[in-house]
Amino acid sequence: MKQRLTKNLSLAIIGTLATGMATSCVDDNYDLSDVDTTVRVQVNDLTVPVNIDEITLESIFDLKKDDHIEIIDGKYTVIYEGDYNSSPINEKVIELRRPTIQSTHVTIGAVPGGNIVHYPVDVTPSTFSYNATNVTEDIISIDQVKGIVDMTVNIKLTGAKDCDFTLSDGVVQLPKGLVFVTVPGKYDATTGHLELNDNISFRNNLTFQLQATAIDFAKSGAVYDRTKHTVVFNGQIGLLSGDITVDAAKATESVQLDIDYTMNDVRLTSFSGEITHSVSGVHFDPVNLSSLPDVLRQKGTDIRLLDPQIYLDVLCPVSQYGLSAQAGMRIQSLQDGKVVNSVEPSSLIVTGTDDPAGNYSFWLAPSDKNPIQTPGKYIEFKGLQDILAGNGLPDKLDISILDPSIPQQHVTDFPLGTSIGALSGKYKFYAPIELMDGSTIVYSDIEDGWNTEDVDKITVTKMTVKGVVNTTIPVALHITGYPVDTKGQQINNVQITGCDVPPYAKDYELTLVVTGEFTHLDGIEFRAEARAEGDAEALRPDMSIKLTKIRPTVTGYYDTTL
Amino acid sequence: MKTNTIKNLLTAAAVMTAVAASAQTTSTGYFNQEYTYRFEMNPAFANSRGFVGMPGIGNVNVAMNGNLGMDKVLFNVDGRTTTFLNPKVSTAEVMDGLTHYRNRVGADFKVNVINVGFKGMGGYNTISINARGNVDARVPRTIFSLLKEGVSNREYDIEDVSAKANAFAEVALGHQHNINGEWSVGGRLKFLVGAGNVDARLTTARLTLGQDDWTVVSNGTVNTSLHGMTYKTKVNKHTGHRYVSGADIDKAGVGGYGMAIDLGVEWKPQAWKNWRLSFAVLDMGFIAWKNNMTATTDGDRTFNLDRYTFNVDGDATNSFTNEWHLLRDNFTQIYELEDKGDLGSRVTGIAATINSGVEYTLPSYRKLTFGLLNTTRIYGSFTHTDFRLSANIAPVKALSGSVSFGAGTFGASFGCLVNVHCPGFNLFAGMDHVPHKLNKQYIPLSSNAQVNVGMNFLF
Repeated sequence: MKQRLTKNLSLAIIGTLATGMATSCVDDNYDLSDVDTTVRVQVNDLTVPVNIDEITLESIFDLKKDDHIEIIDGKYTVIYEGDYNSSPINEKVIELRRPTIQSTHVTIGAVPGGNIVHYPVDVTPSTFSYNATNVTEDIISIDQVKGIVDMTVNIKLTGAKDCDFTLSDGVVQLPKGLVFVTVPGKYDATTGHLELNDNISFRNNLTFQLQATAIDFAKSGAVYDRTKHTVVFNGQIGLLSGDITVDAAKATESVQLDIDYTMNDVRLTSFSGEITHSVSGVHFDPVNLSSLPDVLRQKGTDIRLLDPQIYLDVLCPVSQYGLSAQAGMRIQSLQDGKVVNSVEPSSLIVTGTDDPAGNYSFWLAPSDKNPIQTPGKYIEFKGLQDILAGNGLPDKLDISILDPSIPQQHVTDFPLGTSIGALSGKYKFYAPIELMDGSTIVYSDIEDGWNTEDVDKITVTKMTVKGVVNTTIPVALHITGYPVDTKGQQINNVQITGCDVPPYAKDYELTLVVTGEFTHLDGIEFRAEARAEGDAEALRPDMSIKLTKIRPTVTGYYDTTL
Repeated sequence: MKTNTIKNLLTAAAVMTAVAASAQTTSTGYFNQEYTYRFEMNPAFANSRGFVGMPGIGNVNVAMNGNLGMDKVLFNVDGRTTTFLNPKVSTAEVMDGLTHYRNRVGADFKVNVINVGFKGMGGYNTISINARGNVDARVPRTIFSLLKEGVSNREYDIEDVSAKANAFAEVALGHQHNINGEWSVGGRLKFLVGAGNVDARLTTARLTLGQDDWTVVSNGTVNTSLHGMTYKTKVNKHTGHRYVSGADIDKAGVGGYGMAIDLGVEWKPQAWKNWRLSFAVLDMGFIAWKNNMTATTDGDRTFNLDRYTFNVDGDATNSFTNEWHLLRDNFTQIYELEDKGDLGSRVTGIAATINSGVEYTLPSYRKLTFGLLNTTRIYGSFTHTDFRLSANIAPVKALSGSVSFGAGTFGASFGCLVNVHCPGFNLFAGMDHVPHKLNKQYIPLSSNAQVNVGMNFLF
């Protein structure tokens, strides 16, 4: 029995040995010739501690040389400056065209008088008519004009030969209202009569050449018709009366009296009277806002400035003639060629008459407080606060001077046909970035270019960013964004639900949450919206956003194949 | 193309591990009296006959050991083999299978080139020329946790990542001597010729991914002793730092020389004639290597994320771009090793092994014995031990066999051995670790497998 047991045990051992050698089996589930090498590396609520330097407005604005923003009194201030000119002020000359005057031909019978014979003159004078057309309507009325009026009266006697005539008590009818420097006798501007000096001896021919330097319109009877742009100067000229005597020995029964008249063209070089003038060609170069820093120039930015100011210097050439000038101003903001805002000051800009040199300064601002530079005459300009408002900063500002003119005034000796110079000057536009209630600055940017073969395989299923914010910025901040793919498109409508940071935030805890799953990431488009709640303090370079304890927490995975 | 490369690498790695992993001995045969190579496990053991090993195949022992098997890192999903990193493989499925903190795979080999055994000088003598080597690698479970469970805010301590490789030839002269009827002793003197040694250690690799700071500390060194070997280096284009990128071997040769001894004793007490006790210490020795090519982090390298502060100003020295580049550059220094060149000679052990055995012969049937063997290999962080209970039978003179059950560092295993020893001829086949499953390419799914075959001529 015992031997049998032992034998059986031996057989069992041998059997087990044989079995053991052949127990292994092939598991087809493990086939190294066909391995699915898909690999996923998971990230679970992984928080990445990130340190970010304090962000100052100086770094956000990142001013460049041509940004048109300067720091004045520690405040960011938009500054544009330039100059302007009008067309030269030049009133057109008035030309009085020379009249054609009918000659006088009369026969005068002799009147014996002893040793001398008298030929009494009693002649009807000829008429003349000066006309000027295209007279500028800038001239409202004329008191006097200046210009050289040359006249010639040529008297010829025939009948008596080789004898000397003497003219006595001669009266010549001349145009009325003339102003002479010298005349051979006595001229009455009211009647136009020139009483000649006595006993003018002459032989057959007697010529009077006269030259007037001005015409008194009131006395002359000249008529200025502003509506017809004409000046008509009618009158008479001729030898009205006189006594021509001759030695009786040489006298004839009668003499033939022929009188010719010549009057030249008159070029009026100045005038006195009422004038008005529209100044043309006043041109301001548009203010191109495209050079402002990116942070101010994005869609959605809507800025109302608390205290923008314009300083305007004017050189007014009409001041030397005792005239003032005036103009309105309109500033239009344009975006994509369309007018967004159009603002005007509450009153006209009017130069004075007290400075013959014509230098005047004006200060246009919403209020007469806080001038940035030495102010000129204050002009209220409330609308200036809205000039940058709209959906996005305007592309440019067009500055127009409205109806620049010399209002109707009386002037003395205002030159005609000569430029007196142009209205000119310079301007400076200051706009401290001091936001009014409701103003919004939107800054969005795309940080992209992140996509690589590896990044493309990353899928983020959940992401939050937490942090603590301290700001010295006087506006509230709202931050949003979304991830973008390589085409710059928002991925799967995934949104970064933003956070709101109040003005002057102290240890404010922010949380950004990414809603949704995204992959094929190439970057993010973020949007920071700064909104003034109440009129805000001006933005200064040292204002800052301090982000601490920035903790993005990510859940996601990286899929690839080996 | 890339996928094919990965597949090929996986296959090659698995096959190479299995083929190259030739265990030096088969513990299942320790108590099998006619197992020709018992003297390699205890030099106090003598064979009943002399032998000459068939060159090259006198004792071919193919094995691999470890606790990280193919079935721990490969899975079948939807009918296809895939890695543990496949998203369709659950984290629990992977991590539950990785029960050890330290996951190890290892292989060692011994190829008997010439083996001769004969009686004489009052005992039994052996002369052996062997090629030996071992490769071991260890990765902590933390790495799998990091890769599979997902990166999160915690500390990942992945220190103790290491790998060792050692290759040498030995010429061994052994003598077993019977002192009396109870005691026998034996010893083998080995002359060692080193081929190469690599010792790579990541002594510190600690990722502390805190909520408020991330710190990474690394400390790694690679010591290589290999004739004609130099490290290839590249220059980091961002940092200018020159780092080790590979290795060149100019001309192979002898890397070093050494010696070792095996000592054994067997006690067959007369008082308990059914019992035998044996003890052996093997491979107590060293190799002095001629060179020590060292690549190292040169101490702890620390990367601290808190050092980096980003500035939104694109012109700032610490702008996002600049700081990111600085961060990236500094991080590369965590893992870039410096080539320290040849630091001179170094001495390494060859991993001593202790075998302690007790054998009981069934009195009623003396052809059947039972044995308990403890094998402990002392090899630093790769030390492992194995307790093996075996039953051994020699029903006829020409045939003997053993079965064994083992439990130890690499888990439980079942072994067996059949030994045919006719006059003039010996053929044996055995296993310490019978693989339960093989993959389609016949590679054991477990990292524990062994096949031992040999053919010898007896005289």
